[in-house]
Amino acid sequence: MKKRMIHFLVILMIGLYLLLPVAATFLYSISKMWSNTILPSGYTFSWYQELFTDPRFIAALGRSLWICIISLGLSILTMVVTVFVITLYLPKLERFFQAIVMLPYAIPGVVAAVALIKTYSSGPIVISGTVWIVIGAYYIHILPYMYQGIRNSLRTIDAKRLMEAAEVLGASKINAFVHVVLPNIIPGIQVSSLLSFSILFGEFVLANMLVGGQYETIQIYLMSRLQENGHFSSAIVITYFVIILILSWMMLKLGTRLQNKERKEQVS
Amino acid sequence: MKQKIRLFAIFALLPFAVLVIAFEILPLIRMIIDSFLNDEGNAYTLNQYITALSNPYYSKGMINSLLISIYSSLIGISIALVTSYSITQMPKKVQSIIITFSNMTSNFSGIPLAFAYIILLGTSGLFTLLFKELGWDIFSSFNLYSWSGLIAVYVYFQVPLGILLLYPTYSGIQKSWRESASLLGASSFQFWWHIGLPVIFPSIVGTFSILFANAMGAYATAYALVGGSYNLITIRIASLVGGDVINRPHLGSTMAVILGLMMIGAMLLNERMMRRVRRDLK
Amino acid sequence: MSYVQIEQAFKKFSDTVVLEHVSLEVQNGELVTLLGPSGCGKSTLLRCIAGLETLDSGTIKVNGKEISHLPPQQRNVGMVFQSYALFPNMTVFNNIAFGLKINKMDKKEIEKKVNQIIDLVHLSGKELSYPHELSGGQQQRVALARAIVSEPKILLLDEPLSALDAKIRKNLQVELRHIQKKLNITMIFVTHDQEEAMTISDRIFVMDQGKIVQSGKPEEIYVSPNSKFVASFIGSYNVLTHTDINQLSDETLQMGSYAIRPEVIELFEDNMPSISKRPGFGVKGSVVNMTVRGNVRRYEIKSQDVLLYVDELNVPHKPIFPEGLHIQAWIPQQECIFLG
Repeated sequence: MKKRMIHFLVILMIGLYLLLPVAATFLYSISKMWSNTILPSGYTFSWYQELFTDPRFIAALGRSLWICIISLGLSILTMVVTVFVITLYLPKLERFFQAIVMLPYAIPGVVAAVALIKTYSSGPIVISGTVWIVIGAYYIHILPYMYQGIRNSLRTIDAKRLMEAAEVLGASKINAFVHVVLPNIIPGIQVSSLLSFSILFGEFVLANMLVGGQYETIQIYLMSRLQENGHFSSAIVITYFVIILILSWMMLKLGTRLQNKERKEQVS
Repeated sequence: MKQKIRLFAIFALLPFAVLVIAFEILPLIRMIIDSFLNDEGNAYTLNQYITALSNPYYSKGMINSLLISIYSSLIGISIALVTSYSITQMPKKVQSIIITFSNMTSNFSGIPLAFAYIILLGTSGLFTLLFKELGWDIFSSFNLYSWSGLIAVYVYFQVPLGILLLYPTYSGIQKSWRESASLLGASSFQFWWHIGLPVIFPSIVGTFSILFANAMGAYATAYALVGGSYNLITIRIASLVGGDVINRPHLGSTMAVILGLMMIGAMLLNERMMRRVRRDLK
Repeated sequence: MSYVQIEQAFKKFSDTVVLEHVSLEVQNGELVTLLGPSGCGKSTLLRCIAGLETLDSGTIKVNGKEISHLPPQQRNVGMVFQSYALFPNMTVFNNIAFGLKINKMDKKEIEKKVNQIIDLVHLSGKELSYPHELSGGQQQRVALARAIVSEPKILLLDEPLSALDAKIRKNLQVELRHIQKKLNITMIFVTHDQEEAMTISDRIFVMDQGKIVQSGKPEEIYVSPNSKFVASFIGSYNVLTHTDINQLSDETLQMGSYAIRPEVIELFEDNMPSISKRPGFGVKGSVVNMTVRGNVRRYEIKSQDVLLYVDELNVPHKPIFPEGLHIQAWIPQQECIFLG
């Protein structure tokens, strides 16, 4: 029993350590004044009020949501079919495909930004400084996560066998894909979509270097307000974090539902 | 028939191919070529690489990044190693709650994190004031905006990532090994020393390289703390490309390529290690 | 005095009683088997002897000494696991030497002993191989070698052969017995395979729901099962009630259940003249199915609504009775084992 206590204490300590910055930020966001005292000198929700009525914030939030959704949508539209085709019909290309898709994982935002700027700030196509280059960059940024999610889904449902079974029963390949494979990988796509969305939502480097103030996302907005007013900034941070938490919670629910479904199928 | 499938497949892959070429392949190639240009942009040279590696200003940036990454990863992985083991000792339901918690806190990085740490440990931070009140002088010598402060902040986002990566490897250690070892006379410590740690060692190395890459590529956190005054490789690259240094447009590409290579190296190391783990545990 | 003495072992897992006041004794140099279906408590009992689980009450004595309160490290008990549990990061040699190293044996001594045992289990040449490079049978031999090299007082084996192919299994059963006799080790073997138990044991303890329901030599148990459970578990006994027998043959026996071995029933196409003088009774029925199981023919004979299994040696001079044939089955009186 003593051993259990030690382990519990370890987890508790680390848990507190991880929770502290979030808690402190939250406290800051609801305090009236907190400059030289240990604890705030008054509590208020006025910062949140100010935040949600600030048109600049709403605009930034809108922009963040917008580019995240577009990048994600583009990714889903192209990746699902691509991963499916390569996994099932072009296995020889798979290694090469994997290398391309997992590369962004190893390329930090700064490096990707440099590469994109060098290519698109001059020459035939100039999209540097516009939304489009950010969307493109974001598309590449989430490639590894979308790839892994879709590939694992296809593996779990043994897509090859399903296709074979459907075709033997008379379905064309496209029919089989749409009616047999697609519905079964939707949960997997959902999970990796949420993951990708939260990654993009918290992304700063690419957006800042590629468009900066010209297209202010939530993170860029936060950065600019950081020096002005601490309370206000913490309200932004907490709002952002709450959104991420909601996304994580949704991911979790989907994830467990997926697992339970798999478990049921295994048992029967 | 096969021809038809091939044709259709290539057609289906087209949009993906276009996007990937446009936004990944082409830019990377362009950047690599760029890294070999001299400052005037009219000839190819290795000078940029030489500068990057020998010019004290830039090489210091790289060394700083390396050191911060190594330190924060070492500290982070040690904490994660112990913590994730403790997590495996908890009942199953509690385990998934804790892992979820870890997952969520790993999202708290970049600017929000830097900001939170300013609240806690900045000049008028919560703990700074608290310790001043209690008369503990140790903390007055700790400067969040210095080296050690940055490592402290980096450790914060390394720990959850480390926990998430190391936690599953413990399940690879079979209970029957422990039982077998204890029947043969080994104490708990002897088991971990001779069997447990050696078996998960490749995982540890793999995780370390991921943490290392994570820290090397970090930008937002340091930027939010003190803007461009930290000499880190990512900050240097951003300022070079952002136009701060007008007479060296291509040095940024060079440093970016160097950083990229380091990261790829770390990833490959992780791949190698994980392959060993999978073989060992078969 | 017995070498291993277990008295009134009792254990509960939350609300389920897993071991219900189990007592047994093992003599020095004996190989006994704990035999029973999944969940009967045999593995739990074995793990309690090893010290991997603790008894709620009861004692375990080895060579007169009480070991129930000792941790596994100090019990000097060897164990072979179903999953082999070989340390993946060590060679065959180092796996086997591990226990000796921990006990700080001299390096030269270790080398001698390990090489001896590697010879004994027929693994010469594999000293530097890693577990993942070996076959299942080889891995199990390493596990065995590792457990016996430090000369433990008793060796416990928890379904060690379940994960192996049938042929390798049979070979290892023989090898195991051979090594056991050669080194005179006291072994406690756990299995759910009754054929395995019969092949290798000196004595068998049949367990069901945490209790020992019968113990004795393999022949004894086979020939005289003491309950319906043991009869249906060991071999493919036909179990009939006295009413069944009365219905099928007009024979009246004492009230209760009877176990009849499939190989004692004789089949005749026509009447059974000369044998009818022996005490016993005949049953009229028809052949439902016949399967050839290697050296034995198994017939399923249906009489009214009772199904009888009859085994015949698969020899050419015995004619095969086809499906649907009306048949007469002769059951000798003395082969009806009263179960109670």
